[in-house]
Amino acid sequence: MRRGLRGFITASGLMLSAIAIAEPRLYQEHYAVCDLPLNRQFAQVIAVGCQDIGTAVGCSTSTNLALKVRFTAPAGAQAKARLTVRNVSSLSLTPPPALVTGNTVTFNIVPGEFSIGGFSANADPAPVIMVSVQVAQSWLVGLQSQQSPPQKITLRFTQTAGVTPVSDIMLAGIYSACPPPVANGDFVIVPGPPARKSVVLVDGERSSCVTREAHLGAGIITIENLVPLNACSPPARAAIFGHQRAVDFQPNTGATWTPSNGDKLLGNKFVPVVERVGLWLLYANCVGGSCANRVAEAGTVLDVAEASLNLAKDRYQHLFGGITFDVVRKLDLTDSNKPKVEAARTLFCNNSSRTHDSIEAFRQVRSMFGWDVSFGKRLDIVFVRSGLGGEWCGTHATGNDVVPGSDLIVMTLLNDPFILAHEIGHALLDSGEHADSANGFITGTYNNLMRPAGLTGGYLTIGQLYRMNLLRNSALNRHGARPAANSSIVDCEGFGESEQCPALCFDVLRDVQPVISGGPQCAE
Amino acid sequence: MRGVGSTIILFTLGVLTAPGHLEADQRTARITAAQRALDAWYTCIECQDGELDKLLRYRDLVEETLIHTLQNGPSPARRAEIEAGLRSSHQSSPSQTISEDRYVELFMSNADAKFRTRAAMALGRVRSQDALQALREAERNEKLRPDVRLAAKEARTGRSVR
Repeated sequence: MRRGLRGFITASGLMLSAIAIAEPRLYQEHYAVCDLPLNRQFAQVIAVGCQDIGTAVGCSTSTNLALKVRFTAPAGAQAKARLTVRNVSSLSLTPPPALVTGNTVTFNIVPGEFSIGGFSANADPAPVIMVSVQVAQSWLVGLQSQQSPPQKITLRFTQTAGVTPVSDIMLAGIYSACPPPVANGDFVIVPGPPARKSVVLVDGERSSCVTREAHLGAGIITIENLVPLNACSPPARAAIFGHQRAVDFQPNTGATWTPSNGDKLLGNKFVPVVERVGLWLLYANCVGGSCANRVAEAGTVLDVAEASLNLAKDRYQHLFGGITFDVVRKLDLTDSNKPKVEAARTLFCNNSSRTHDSIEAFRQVRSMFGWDVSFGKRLDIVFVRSGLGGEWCGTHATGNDVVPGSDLIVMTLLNDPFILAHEIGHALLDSGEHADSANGFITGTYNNLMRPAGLTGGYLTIGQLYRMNLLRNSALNRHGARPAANSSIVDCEGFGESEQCPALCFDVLRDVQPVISGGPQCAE
Repeated sequence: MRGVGSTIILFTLGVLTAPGHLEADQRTARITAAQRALDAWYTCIECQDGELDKLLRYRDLVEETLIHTLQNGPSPARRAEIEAGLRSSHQSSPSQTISEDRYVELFMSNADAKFRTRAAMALGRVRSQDALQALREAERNEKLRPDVRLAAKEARTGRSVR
């Protein structure tokens, strides 16, 4: 095995340049160290194998895979990486780990490189490594007391088959000191349990203008003294994001701030905004008059639809989104052989012509059921047979199609559970754009719900949630879902920061389990 | 001046890099690009950034793996990744009413069908003898989900959606 590893290391010299050019798949977490529980650690499952590359590009099933782990850590960091390996018959590690217990090995994280061998490309089930990183509390205490700049620990896993790169995954943890508490100042008072943090964005004035200054805290949040607007243009606004509550947007808080300390901005506890949805289950394999497995399909479609919607509810309601969904209409048409229904089982929204036809086909089905009081004030989610996985029909709707197109989501049974939440995100943002480099986001991180591909997380930035709730053409505002007492809207320009809006990628440090927070989301 | 600098750098690289190494590097870089194109095509959601066209630039490298995916679904390593993600999302979603195993079963079936469907769509554009034969076999394979068989038929007959 050792000989094999030496061969791998020599050969790998040839491919370093190619690997260095490509960006790794990045899983990143960002912690405020003052809030980090003692046992908090970041963790990830990494599968080892040929992925979907077969013999054509060099990952022969007879080739042993090699895995290289590169650690980086700041000087003085005290952290351990624990790797638990499954489905591997023999394992070799170079250099030896600090501790081996059964199939779990523990490394002290110091800058350097480790090789792990013994994987077989044709193993099924695939070898899996569960990686977790735990940092010493004493190190975190030191970062906080010294107000150190953010510290980053990374583990980069590079898999190869012979000299062929197979995959490249980076795990990163960023640890930031919390700002020192403000002894005297003004207050933002956020009702709710003290264990639940809120995010507050405030406008005001000090020696310069303050725009959407971000604070994170629970209960009473102390901020540096804000004074009445003088040199800065009104209005002063505040937006408060909390757990299981609607975003509290206060469009004019100018009168709150006086020259003295001790001013109090009171947050409101609004219940989550309820967006109505209709579920239309049309999926059926009734091609050519033969409908296979209808009963099983109906149960499957319903389970997939409800599981996807439940995931969306949890994502949007719990993690600062303040939005939930209520199914006001559910129609199971999986058993229908009516021509209008069959025609609507093939819907696409990938260009304007198909979108127009799809909206019309759906209208024909809807018209079979008479007057519908909530139509036009809800999102209609239609599970069909054709398509790629999920599409929001607002992207390519034109002319008179815009409103029904913006309310129509087409789903198939090719979807993963986050895709419905992703399509709802398009409707809430009233945009077919994604969290990618064209819209100011960093590339490589896989956890944002609005990424164009490979969803592995349901994270949304404060900038995204701000627009989803407050944007004039958000589905919530088009449908009048927000209560009158909290119905102020904003108009944003593009994806960047503007007078009324933060940048779409704007985020604040947070430590919200269980979704990976992802660290900085804006491209530098 | 900039041109002179570039020339010097290129000349230096040429001296330092043996032709065999350069060729290997280029091949490795192309394989990496093919892998990324394949991954982008398999995992894109709306697929509006030309993912399939980009993949077809590497048809010589990916045809065999596309056929393999149509026949077998995602690789064991990919399945393991997908399953880990599904279990994680179920555990982070208290509103779920179905069991974790049922959830994994449902969405693993979807993932399997998605990978096979995407492979079929790509093979419909490759249109080599081997690709068309694989599509024909998939159409007739009663073990596959009906939507996958339909996708194979559409791809073979040229009625592919993209």
